[in-house]
Amino acid sequence: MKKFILLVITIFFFHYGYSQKSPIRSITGSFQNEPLENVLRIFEREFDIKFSYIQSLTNDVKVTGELNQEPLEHALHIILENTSFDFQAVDEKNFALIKDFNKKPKNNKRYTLKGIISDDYGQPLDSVEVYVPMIQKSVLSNPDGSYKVTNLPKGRLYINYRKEQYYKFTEFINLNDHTETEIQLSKVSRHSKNEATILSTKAEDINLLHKKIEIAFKSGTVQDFLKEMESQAALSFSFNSDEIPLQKNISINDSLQTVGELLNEIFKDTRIEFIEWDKKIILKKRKPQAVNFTISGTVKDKRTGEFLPGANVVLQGQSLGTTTNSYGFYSLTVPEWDYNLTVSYMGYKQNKKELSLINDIRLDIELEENMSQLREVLVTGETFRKHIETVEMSVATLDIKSLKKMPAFMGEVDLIKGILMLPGVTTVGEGATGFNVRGGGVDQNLVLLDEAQVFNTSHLFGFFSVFNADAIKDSKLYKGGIPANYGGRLSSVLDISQKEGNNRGFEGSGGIGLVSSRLTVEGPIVKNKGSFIVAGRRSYADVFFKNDKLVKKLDLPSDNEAFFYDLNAKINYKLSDKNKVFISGYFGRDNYRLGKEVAFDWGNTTATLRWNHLFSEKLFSNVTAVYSNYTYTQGEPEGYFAFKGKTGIKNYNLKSDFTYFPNTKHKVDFGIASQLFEIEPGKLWPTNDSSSIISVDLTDDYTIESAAYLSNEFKFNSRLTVYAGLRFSHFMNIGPGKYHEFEAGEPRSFLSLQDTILYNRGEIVNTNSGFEPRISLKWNVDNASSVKLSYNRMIQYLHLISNTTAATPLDIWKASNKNITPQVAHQLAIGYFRNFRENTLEASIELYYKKMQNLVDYKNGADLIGNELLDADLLQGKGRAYGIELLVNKKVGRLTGWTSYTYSRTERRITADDFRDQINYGDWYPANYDQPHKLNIVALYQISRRFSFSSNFTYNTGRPVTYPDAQYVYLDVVVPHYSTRNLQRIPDYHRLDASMTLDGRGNKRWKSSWSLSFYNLYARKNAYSIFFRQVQDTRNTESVKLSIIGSIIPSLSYNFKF
Amino acid sequence: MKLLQNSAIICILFSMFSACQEVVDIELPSGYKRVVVEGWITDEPGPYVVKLTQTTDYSFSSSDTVIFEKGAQVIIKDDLGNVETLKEIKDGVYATDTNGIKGEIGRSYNLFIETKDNRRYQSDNELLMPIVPIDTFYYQLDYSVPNPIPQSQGKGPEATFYLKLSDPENEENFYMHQYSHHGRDGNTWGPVIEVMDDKFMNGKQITLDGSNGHFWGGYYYHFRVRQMSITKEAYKFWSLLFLQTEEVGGPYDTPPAPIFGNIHNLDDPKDYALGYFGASSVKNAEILIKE
Repeated sequence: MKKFILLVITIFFFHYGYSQKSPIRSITGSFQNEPLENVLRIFEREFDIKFSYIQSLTNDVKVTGELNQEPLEHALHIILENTSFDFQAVDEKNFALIKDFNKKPKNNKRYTLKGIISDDYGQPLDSVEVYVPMIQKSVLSNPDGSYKVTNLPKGRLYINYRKEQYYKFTEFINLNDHTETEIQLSKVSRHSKNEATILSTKAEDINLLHKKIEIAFKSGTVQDFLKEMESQAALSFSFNSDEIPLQKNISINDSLQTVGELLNEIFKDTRIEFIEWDKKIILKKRKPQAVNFTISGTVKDKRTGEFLPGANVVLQGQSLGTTTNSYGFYSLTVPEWDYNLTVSYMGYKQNKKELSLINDIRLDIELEENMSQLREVLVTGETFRKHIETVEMSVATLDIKSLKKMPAFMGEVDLIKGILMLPGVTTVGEGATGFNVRGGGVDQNLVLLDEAQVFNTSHLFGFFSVFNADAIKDSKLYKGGIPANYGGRLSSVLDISQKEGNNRGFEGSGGIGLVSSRLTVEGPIVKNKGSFIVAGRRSYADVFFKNDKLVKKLDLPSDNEAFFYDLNAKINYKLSDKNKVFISGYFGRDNYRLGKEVAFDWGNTTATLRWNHLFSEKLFSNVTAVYSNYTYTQGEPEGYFAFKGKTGIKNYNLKSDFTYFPNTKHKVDFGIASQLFEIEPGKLWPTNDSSSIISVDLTDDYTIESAAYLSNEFKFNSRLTVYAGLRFSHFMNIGPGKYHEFEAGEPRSFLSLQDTILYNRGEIVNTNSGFEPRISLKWNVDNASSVKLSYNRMIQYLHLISNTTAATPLDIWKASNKNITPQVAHQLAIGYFRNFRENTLEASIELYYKKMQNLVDYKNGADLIGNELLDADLLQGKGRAYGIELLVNKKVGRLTGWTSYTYSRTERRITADDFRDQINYGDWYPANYDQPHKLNIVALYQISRRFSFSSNFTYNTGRPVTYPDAQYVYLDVVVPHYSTRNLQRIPDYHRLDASMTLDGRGNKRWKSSWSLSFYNLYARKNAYSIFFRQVQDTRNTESVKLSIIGSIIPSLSYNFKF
Repeated sequence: MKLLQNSAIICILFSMFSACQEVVDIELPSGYKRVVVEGWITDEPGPYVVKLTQTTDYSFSSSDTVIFEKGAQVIIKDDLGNVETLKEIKDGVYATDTNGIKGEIGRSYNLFIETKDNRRYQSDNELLMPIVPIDTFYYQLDYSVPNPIPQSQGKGPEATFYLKLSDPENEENFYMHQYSHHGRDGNTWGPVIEVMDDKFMNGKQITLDGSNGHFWGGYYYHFRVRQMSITKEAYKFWSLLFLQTEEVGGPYDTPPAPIFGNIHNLDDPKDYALGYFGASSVKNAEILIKE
């Protein structure tokens, strides 16, 4: 910091109270765990004072402190800082030591002010007194002009520099880690015009800044305050009006203060400094130092207090910016400067703030929801520039608010259905569990609900999903460019956060639909500190099956059950500004029973405990403990084969994630995680005495998956950003367990089974590990477009074994072991991102290529249920997927929505040792969900304040199926022969949906809306599959098209909020 | 025992979403002509028959015209070196001599075929496993179920046939049951074939419902069952065959795949034959419903 102050005055004078040559008594010394009493003895000797205290209390107290020319009281403060003692002056010579039980030892950081003092000619000045009035401490400068004042408190102080025959200089300083000063003092000249004035100053012997005044008002503009001070204290201010925010409204706490204190308060958080000279106070804006400060905090919804993850926080002055993390936290470390802070979030009003960054600050920002999208909001662009500015690619966030307005199948707002409208996401058909991302299997998606793995996302076999839209805040799908903190699946991550609940007031919402009813209640536990949310949903599809007429018509047995339900709950509590805890959980179940013949049920249970901790403004941490459990049971309720079977998977996960924000150029993430999986492959037992079924219990598998990762997002400059991450994952099969070994070189089968080994608890059976580099790069071509590139390597140790066309809730999870190698994928993606029409239209083209190894498939005829030797029935092969995705997205205005076109292919190759295990003779063949062309159009139109219309259209090439190429008659049955797999296709799929939402007039306390939705508007009978069968009682055959949705499906739902 | 019943799920879907099936016309690929083998050796007295046919293109017209593989050389061998060449008694139908080879428990057998155009096939060795006796074969009558078509199907109550067998405990067992009946009116039914493994029923007395449809009393019915031992490979073959002819096309069905039997071409692995050459021990039972 440079300072040139030229004061042209003559005179020398003595200060009030003390002499320059003999500064007030001070003490210097260093104490390390010194008994307090010893230190007190020294103080008594040095200062010639006496302490009184209760000896039994001070006995074991040790103190530590570095004292450097400290005056008595300041020295005592420092020494007693970490004790529970305080002192009180009884009189000048006697001090009492008091034990203060409420006093918490605090480790206050002390700062040091360093600097150099020279004269007008640049010659160093010695013996200049540097005096800090606040703590009454003074030091003298050294012969080389340098000085050092230690043990200063943080914050704003003013410092007096004085030397005989030199002009006094008062500096106002905002103290931080980096403060260094350069001071120039001018020698008093004998011929100054202002001699008289200075002499009068001498006469008054008063420092203007120390003069006490009383201001009649507590708030007003800066100008008001300055004027009032001028009239009260007979002084005048001198300043450049460009530098001083005269019209800024401020308020003060205490109207009776010294001039210095008042100015301090008025100009706090600015770089404005004041210097006293000649009854004038010069206000001057200090040039910014080359010092960095951190601004950090959280971004929240104003009404509910919910965190807003992914909000843009931009300091426009330097176009520096960041986005909030998943807990709404941001941290920016930037040079001292005056900034315009803009915080924006989709669907919210932008919040702008001017701020002069002169120290580390914590700034929590609240955004107000933009209730009406009617007016074309003029967007300055920061929100939408994210599309081209962020290094992220192949990422889609689905806005829950928009999702709720999209046509919903049977009125059930469904996150997975929304995801299916995104480019690069496909499904084998209606009613299929899960979804396929860029040619990957359903089990290659890591679905996280508040960081808990959800092993099955389906209700009613996949017609609906387990995510209750009322309880969900935010979701993000990574199709590529997957950050290093995620792992364990090859193709995608779907990260879903549950709402925290309103911490400002109680509210509820709900709905009544054709399929289910919902109710959500949320509110504060302690206002602004903690909140809860509970959301429940239950379907009543079973009424269909209780209807006698329908049951008869469909030839169903009479005693049926079919329903699902789920419950979401979350609470959070802010322990302090630095600590926050979250507990959340999900419980859901599907139940189906058809008469006496079949019964099955399935469901997920998850629980997450999270602790956010802020080590500093720059280091954010989150520790998470997760439990997740998926089970299904199936059985025959009655009869000679009455049984119940159960399989499941449990997951215990402990992880710790850190984000370090050293400065705006870097963002470092690192963390570790370890999770235990307990897989129950199958258990079966009879449910009545006449049942022929025996109890079977396959040995459970235990595995431990651990990982450590480190990544850095580095902004080289405004054009180039590089994300480089590395994840190391490690996998172990551990005992207890039963593992099979097969003859080497032989195809695995029950014939080549060599040994079955039982392992004891804790024994390590097998390990596997690998590095997973994740690299992304963004380069801005110009102001409106950028090119992005990413490479991912992913390893998957857990596989879903399914031998059906669509994954079902009853598929089983299988861990890698000695026989089953982990799946590995490499994905390379490149994209061009461009914004149009002042960033209101986002467009992108992405190309990707994905290579997959060790994909798990089953042998023809493999039995997956209760199969102890499942290893022998599994094959591993290769996969490749590639495609191009085009997307245009409009996020603001009356009309919003997107259009996307995808061309993609996904193929498999399975080359087994045994010819019969090969598929298509070991050639590449299309995977079940290979749908080359896909077009999606989603449009939402806000017709009026209360009425909105939305529609979506989807088209895709029919998925592959297998046609027979020969037939033969065997024991009177016509048997089709299928020599190859997936070489034909079902007819193309297309569908148009539409919906209308009418918001009720309502009052403030009760808001309602009606939604009318039509799925499959033109009633197309889209093929789910084509299959072949023999016409009953003849030897004729026919090909049959199965359409799962055979007509238009209308639905009406009523939603409310209170 | 079928665990997840696709038909049950389809029921739910049909009722909820008006799912539908339509017969459609499609063009089918034309495949390679393969030899299809249907052959068996049992511990019952011979002659044993091996039927050789050829695959045809999958067609939607009647499949009554079957192309027989005529003029082939067909040989059954056992593990003691006994060999018998079968005689073609009808187009594509080959039989052993009445006094020729006889299936014995514990022996294994294989089949050799050389077609007229010199393609040579051989089956894997098939072990003739013992079979437990049928404990009981009986029926129950239920008067509460109304008979929807009393004219043609008898007049009485609904009849359900049961079979009980005791599964041996210390081994894996695979069973085939062939049910058939003939009525006094000359109506015949079957054989309806079912296969079963004892994975979840090992060592238990197993009760099977052999009705596989509705039967109505008040008529003379001869009801027969053949209980046969089969190997694990044969079980896999048959269960896959049933799976692919009965449960196809739904979302939760297994996608179709080639059904490999146990007969391969000795010279070209891609020219595998279809069908199965099996070896079984047989126990028979029969009842008559007079009520």
